[in-house]
Amino acid sequence: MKRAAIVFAAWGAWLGVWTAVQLLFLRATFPERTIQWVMLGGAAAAALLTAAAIWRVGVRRSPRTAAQLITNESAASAVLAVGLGLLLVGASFGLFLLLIGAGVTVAGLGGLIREERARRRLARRGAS
Amino acid sequence: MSAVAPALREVPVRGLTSTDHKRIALNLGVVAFAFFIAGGLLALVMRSQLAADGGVVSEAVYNQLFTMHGSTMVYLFVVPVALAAGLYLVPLQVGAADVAAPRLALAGLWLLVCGGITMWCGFLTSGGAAQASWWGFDPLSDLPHSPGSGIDLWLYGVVMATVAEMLWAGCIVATVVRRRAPGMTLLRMPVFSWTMVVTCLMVLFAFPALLVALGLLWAQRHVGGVLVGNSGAVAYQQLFWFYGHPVVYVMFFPFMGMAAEVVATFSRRRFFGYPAFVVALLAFSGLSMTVWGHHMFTFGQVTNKYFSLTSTALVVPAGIEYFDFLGTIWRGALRFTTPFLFALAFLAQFLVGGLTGVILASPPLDYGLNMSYFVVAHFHYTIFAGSAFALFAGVYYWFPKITGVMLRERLGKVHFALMLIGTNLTFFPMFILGAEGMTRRIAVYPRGSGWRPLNELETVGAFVIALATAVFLFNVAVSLRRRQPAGDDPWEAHTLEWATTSPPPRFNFTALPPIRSHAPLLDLREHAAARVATQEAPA
Repeated sequence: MKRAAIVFAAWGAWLGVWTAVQLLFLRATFPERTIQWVMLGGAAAAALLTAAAIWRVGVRRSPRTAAQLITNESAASAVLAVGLGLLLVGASFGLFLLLIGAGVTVAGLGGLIREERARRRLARRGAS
Repeated sequence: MSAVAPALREVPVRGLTSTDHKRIALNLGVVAFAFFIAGGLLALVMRSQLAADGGVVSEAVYNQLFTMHGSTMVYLFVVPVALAAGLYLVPLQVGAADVAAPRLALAGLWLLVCGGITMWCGFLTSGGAAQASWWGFDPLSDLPHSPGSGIDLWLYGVVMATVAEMLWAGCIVATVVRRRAPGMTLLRMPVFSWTMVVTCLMVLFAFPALLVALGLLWAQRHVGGVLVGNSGAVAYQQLFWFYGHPVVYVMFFPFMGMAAEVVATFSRRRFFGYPAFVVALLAFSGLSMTVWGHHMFTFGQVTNKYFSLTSTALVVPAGIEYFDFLGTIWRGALRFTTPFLFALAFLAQFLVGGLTGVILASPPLDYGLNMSYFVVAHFHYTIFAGSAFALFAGVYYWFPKITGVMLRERLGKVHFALMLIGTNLTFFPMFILGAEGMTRRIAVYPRGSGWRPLNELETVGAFVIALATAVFLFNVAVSLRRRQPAGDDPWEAHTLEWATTSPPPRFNFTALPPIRSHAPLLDLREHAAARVATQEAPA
């Protein structure tokens, strides 16, 4: 969808214009306020890079049936999110929580792999 | 009997792990609304404290209350509910069968739940919840000034909520890029979907700055030597506000999109100036990434002239958008339904918030008003009097689509009237108090200041808002219990979501109408009317 890439590119260019205007205003103080223009310039560059990626990949529109191959329920996604949350909180609240979080995260990842294998099986069956 | 609200009657556990974008969005909306109630209760305690001029809670508890009120409303209610609306409606509006990457969206829902619980667990710690405001500014939030674990829990909660929000934004943008129906070009996307696109651009390119800021804050608290001295504090503020101002527009654009759909439908007119509106949205969102420094005018550490220029320049795209709204209403065949009344109030009240923002965009004026209740009034007029009113417009408008039943119109108008009165009673006096010098975040104000009567008035207003919210919840309960079936398109609306059943099936559509503009259903009706007119005309 190359037109979508144009939206990202135009938006990134617009941020780029304002980064340039900011540099004009900064003049002598610009080394001390690096963070100020780096953040905006960085966002502009990231938007332009995203546009380039979308343009290059030329993302194709998925057929409507593709969505229907996704499992209707995904407990694994929920478990993974909870596991990652526990891991994060465990960073301050002790090894026990880190270990619980790691266990839950592994369980979630395992579930996702299982779901993905089931989806592929379903896709193969549909193809044949 | 209609097949009413099966989405709301599913087996609870299965519903919580569903990958259906509508179910995820509905769950997210319910979670976010629960946090709205919780954050609102904190506000009522704060208002009681200020009406009594102290004595209700200690100053330390008051600090926790305003921190958790702001954090809950921003991180756990307004942004999530805005993105929930996008998750529900964008796939329907662009004619997609599902959202892109629904498992990521589901993971985001659970991250938000974990984040919210984590943040609120701060109240259970010995030192209480975080006290460093929703900004968590360093050095207020570093170890010597915030020694408890409440601030750590706040930090983790915010990280989880922010990651969740980025996941949803990615899903919505990917849906627009990949999943649009044949014929749905970018310039045929409904206004609401466009507002979601620009919202998601801001989420994806501004929110990472918050994660960096919080990462540095975590390192400062647990390792030290990261945010050192004045430069460290300023660096944190730069990073925070690079997120913190775009987030204001993340809390505005989706709701403006909701109001735009409501206004067009109930004016029985095509949305006026659609191409200009889209260009203005893109310009507005880009410009809103460049204004963060106006929060730091008084610091002497940002380029005030530049940020004043960009902040003032926002009135140009905003003016175009207001002009489009007025152009749509002008000579429309208006229907004064509850959603339309909320949308009109959004337009009027957001204007107050927007125009007072222009005052704050001027550094000399900001020097006088910064950190006063004037600022509190300004952002509550934008976020509550503005966005929350548009949200309710959207809720009343799309409730029939989501559940298959109509909300009660008379109760809706009572809700609207109470909200209007309560909101203006609560927030307008803050302008006066701010101009008189009442600073924000104070638990007690000077005895002889004469500020008590206005504070009492604000507190009455806050309780009227609470009453209005109770009326809304009662309306929802009554409407779901004594059902008035809505049909597929009760409002004669314009966009694709009204072409499917209410509520929509798992994969949204069985067939799509031809898409020739951003209002395909209006096209169909106009086409049918033209055909009838041609047939009735004498040969």
